[in-house]
Amino acid sequence: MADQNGINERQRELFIRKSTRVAASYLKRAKELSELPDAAKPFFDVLENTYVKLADIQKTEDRKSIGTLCVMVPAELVYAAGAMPVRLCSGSYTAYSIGDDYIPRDACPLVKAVMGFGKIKALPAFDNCSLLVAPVTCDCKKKLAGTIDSVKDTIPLHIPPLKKDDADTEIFLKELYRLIPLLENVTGKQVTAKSLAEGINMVGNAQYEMSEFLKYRRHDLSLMSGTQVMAVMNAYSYMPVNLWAKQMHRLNEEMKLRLSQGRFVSRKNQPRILVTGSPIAFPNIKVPLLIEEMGGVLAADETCMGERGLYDPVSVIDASFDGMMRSLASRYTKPCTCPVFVDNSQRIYRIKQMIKEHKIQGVIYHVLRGCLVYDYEYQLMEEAMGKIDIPIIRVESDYNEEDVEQLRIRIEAFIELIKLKELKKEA
Amino acid sequence: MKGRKIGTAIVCAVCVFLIVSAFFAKDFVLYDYHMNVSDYHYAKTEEEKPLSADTSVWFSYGDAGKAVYYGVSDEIREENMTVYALTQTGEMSVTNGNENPIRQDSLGHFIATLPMTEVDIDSDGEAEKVYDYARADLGLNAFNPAPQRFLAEEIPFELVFAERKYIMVYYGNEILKDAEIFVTSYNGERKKYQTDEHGWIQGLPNRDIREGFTAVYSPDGEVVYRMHYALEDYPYFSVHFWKAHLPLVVIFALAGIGIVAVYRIRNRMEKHNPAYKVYSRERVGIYPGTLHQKTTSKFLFVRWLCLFAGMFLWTYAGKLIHQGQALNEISIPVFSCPFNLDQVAEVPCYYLSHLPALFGRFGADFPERNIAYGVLFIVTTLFCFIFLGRILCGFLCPAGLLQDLMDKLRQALHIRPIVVTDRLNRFLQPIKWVWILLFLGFAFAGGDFCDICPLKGFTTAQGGYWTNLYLGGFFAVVILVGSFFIKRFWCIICPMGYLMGLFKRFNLFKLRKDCTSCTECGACYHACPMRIKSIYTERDKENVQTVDCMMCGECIHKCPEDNALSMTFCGKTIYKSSRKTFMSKFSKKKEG
Repeated sequence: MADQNGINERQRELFIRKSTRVAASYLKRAKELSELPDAAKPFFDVLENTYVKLADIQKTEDRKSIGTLCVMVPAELVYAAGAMPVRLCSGSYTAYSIGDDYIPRDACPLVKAVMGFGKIKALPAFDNCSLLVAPVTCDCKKKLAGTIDSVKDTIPLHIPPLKKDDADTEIFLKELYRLIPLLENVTGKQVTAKSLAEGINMVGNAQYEMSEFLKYRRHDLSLMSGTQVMAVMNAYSYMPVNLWAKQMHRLNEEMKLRLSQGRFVSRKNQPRILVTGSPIAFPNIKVPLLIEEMGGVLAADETCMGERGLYDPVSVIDASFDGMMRSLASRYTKPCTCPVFVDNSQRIYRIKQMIKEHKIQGVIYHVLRGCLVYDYEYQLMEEAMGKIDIPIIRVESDYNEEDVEQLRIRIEAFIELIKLKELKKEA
Repeated sequence: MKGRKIGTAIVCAVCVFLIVSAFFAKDFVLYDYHMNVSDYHYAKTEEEKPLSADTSVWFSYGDAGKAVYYGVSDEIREENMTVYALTQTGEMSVTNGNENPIRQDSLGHFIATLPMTEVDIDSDGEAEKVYDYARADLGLNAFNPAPQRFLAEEIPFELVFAERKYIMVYYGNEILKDAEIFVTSYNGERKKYQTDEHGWIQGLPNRDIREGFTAVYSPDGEVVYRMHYALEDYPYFSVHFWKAHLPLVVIFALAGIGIVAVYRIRNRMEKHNPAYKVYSRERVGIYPGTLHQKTTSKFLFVRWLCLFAGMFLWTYAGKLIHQGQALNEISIPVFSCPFNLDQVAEVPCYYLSHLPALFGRFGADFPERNIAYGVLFIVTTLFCFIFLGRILCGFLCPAGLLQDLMDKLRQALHIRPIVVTDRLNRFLQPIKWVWILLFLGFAFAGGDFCDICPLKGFTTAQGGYWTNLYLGGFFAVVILVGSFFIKRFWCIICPMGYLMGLFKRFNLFKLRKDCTSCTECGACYHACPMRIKSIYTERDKENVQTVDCMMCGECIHKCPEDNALSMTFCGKTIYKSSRKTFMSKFSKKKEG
C-alpha cells in the first residue's frame, strides 16, 4: 500500500534494512581506524542512534526540533526560541537513491538524500522536525527549499550573494528578524534579549570546547583519527549543543591525558592532509576513511559539516537585542567561506591559514558530483596552492560505493606523491 | 537612487546651515549668564589673604560666590573707598561700601579707589603722593576683542587684561608706551617690566594674574600710582562653581528630551517595518545584563583610566596645574577649554581655530615676542601631532569620555543603536570637511570658532568657569543625542582629530594586521566606533591604520583570531588579539 508519496511498506522496509547496514558498516570502519577515545564514544552512539537504531534525537529538555540545511542558520536564534536545530544535510546512499526519482539527474547527491528522507519518512530525526529552515544558497538548495515544502513546512532564508557591503548584512539581518516570529509560532515561546543571550552563550560554550579541541588537533602527531573527528563534528547535528559541549569537554580532557602519555595514533612521516570542498556528511565518510586507510593523516578539514560550522564565534559588540542580532547576522555571513558567495577569496586565505596552523602537506579537494560552486573554485585553489608549493588533488565522488576503488587508487597515489616529495626535500 | 538624492540634499543643507549659522552664532543663545550684581555686596574682609606688599586694597570673592569682598588694611577706613563698576551703559561709582548697590547691568569689572595718601615709598625722606587702586575682573567674557577699560578721569592709571597673558597699561586715557613698571608678585617678589610700543606688559606669570599682583608706576617721581590686579578665581564647590554647571544641566536636559524624541520617532517610522514587532518587544530599561561577553582587558582598563584621568586633568585639575606654572605652556591638542577660555593658558585648539592670532604672535608685528613660548608651543604641539596622533582621542580627550559614557548609558538601558552603515558614513564625511573649514579658516573670515564649538560647554563648565553658550550649545545637544545612539558620533566629524590623524605615518603607536590570520569575520569593523572598513577587508598590507583610527583598541578586543590585530609602540607589540582570551568568556569554568 503506497502512501501519498507513492512509497509502499515494502520499499520502506527495504530502505531501512539497507540504510542501517551502510551506516553501521561505516561507523564500524571509523571506529576501527585507530583506538577510539572513550570520551568520543557518546558521539558515535548518537550517530548510531540516529542512523542505525532510527531513534529520535535524545534531548536534555523538552525542545521542538527545527530542521536546518546549511551553516547559515543561526543555531543561537533557534535555541533562543526554545527549539533545537537539527542539521539535516545527510550522506545517506539509500536516501539518495530515493531522492533520485524526484530531483533531476545532475543535481547534487546531498540534496537528493535530503529529499529522499523527506519522502521515505523513516528517519525520526528528520520526521520529528516541526519546521525546516532552508537557506537559499546554491542552486540545488534553492530548488530543494521550493520542492521539499510539499513534505515539510519550509522557510527559505535569503542569503545575500555578496557580503562585504553593509547593505547585504542588513538584508540578512531582516531575514533573521523575519525568522523570529515564525520560530515563535512553532515553539510558543518568545525570543527575548535574555533568551538570545543564553542561546549565544550555549553555542559559545560549544565553540569554546571546539577551540580547545583544535589545539590538540594541531599537534604534530595526531591524538585522534581525523575520520573520527569528522564523525564527532557530524554528531553535533543531532545533539543538543549543551550536551555536545559537555561531551567535548570530556574528550578534551582525554586528549590532554593522551598528550601527556604520548599516545599518538599517527607516526612521524605520515603525510598530513587537509580535506576541503563539498560537505562530507555522515554516512558518506568514504573520502576521509580512504585517506586514513591509505596511510595519510586527516589533520584538518575545511568543510561545512566539519570545522566551519563551529569555528567562528559570535562577537557581541552591543548589549541591546538589535546589537546581538547584528552580531549573529554578521557572524553567519561575513566569515562564512561557502562558495555561494560571489567573492569567496577568503576561503583561500582561510585554507592557507589552516595549512600553516595544522602543518598540512597536501590538500584533497572533494567535489560531490553536481556540486558546481565548489568545482568552480578548484581552479583558483589549485593556482593558490601551486604558489605555496602544496600538492592538491581534486576527487569527485557520488553517493554510492561504486567509485570507491577509483578513489582509493587516486588517494593512494596522492599520498605516495607527498611522501616522495618529502623524501626529495630531505635529500 | 531617490533615497540617495534626498540624503545628499539633506547633507548639503546641513553643511550650508553650518557655514551660514556660524557667522550668526552669537545670535543663537542657549545659555547666557546675567551677572546679577545686586547679589554682590561689600564687606570688610575677614579671611586672611596674602596681601601684596605694596597695596592696601584688593578684591576677592568669597566662598559663597555671591560676595565681593574688598580688603582694607587697618589704617584705611572703609567709608573712604569708592568702588567703580563697569556696566553695559558705562561706568558707575559707588561710595561708602554696601549702602549703595551696583546696578544690575554690571559687566563684572570693578575698581576700588582710596583717597590719596602721602607715604614715603622710596625712602628718600620725601613723601610721595600715592594713589591706591584695586581692580578685579569677574568672569571674563571669553575672547572679547574689546578691552574692558574704564578710562575714567578718577582713575588715571589702569591695568587692562588684553589677550592671554598680556596686560595693557593706560595712563591718562592713553596707552602707556615704553614705561617702567614695577610689579610685585603674589609672593612678594619684585620685578621691573618695560611696556612695549603697544602699552603691553609681557611675560607676566599666569599665577600673578590669577592670584593678584601690584603694578606701581610713577610718571615723575612725585606721584605714585599703585594698582592691584586679579583675575577671577573661584574656589571649588562654591556656589559659583555649581552655578557654572547650569548650562551643562540645560544641555543634558535638552539632550534627554532629544533622546526620547529620537527614540519615539524611530519607533513610529518603523511601524510598518516587518521587524518592528520584534523591535517593539525589545525590552528597554535597566535590568542586569545577561550576556557574559565581558572579558577583562588590561588595555581597555588602562584606556578608561586614562580617559578619566584626562577628564580630571583638563577640567578640575586645570586650575591647579596652571597655577603651578609647570605645565601651563605645554600644548596638548584635545578640546580642553578650561585652559583656554580664560585666556590664561595655552592650548593649540585655540590657536588652530584662531590662526591669525597664531601668526600675529610670531608674525611681523611682534618678531621678538616670546620666542620661548613659541618654541614650546610648536614643539609640544608637533610632538603630540606627530608622535602621539589620534591616540589622544582614544585615551585623553574629555569629549571622548563623555561620548563613551553616553554609549555605556544606552547599552545599560538596552536601547538599540543607530548603526552607521558605510552609506550613512559617506553622508557624514562632508560635514567633517565643513567643520575643518570652519576650524581652520573661520577666524580669517571674521568669525569665532568658539561660538559654534559644540564641546566648549562641557569641560569649561565642569571646571567651574562661567561660559556663555551660543550656537555651540545647541550643537552640544546634538552631539549628546548623537553619541547616545552612535558611539563616538562627534569623533567621526571632529576637525581636530582629523588634523591629528594626518600624521599617522610618524606615530609611535601603530595598528597592525596580520592578514594571514584574518578570517574576515568583520567583528573589528562592527566594533570600530569610527567605522573603518578597510580593517577587515585589507588582505595585503600590514599597516591598517587610517586617518580615522584613534587606537581605542576595541577592534583588537573583539578579534577572535590569534595575532590578527595588534598595537605596537615603537615597533614593540603592546596589545594583540588572542583567540584564547576571546573564547574564554564562553568557558563554563568562568561562569561557575
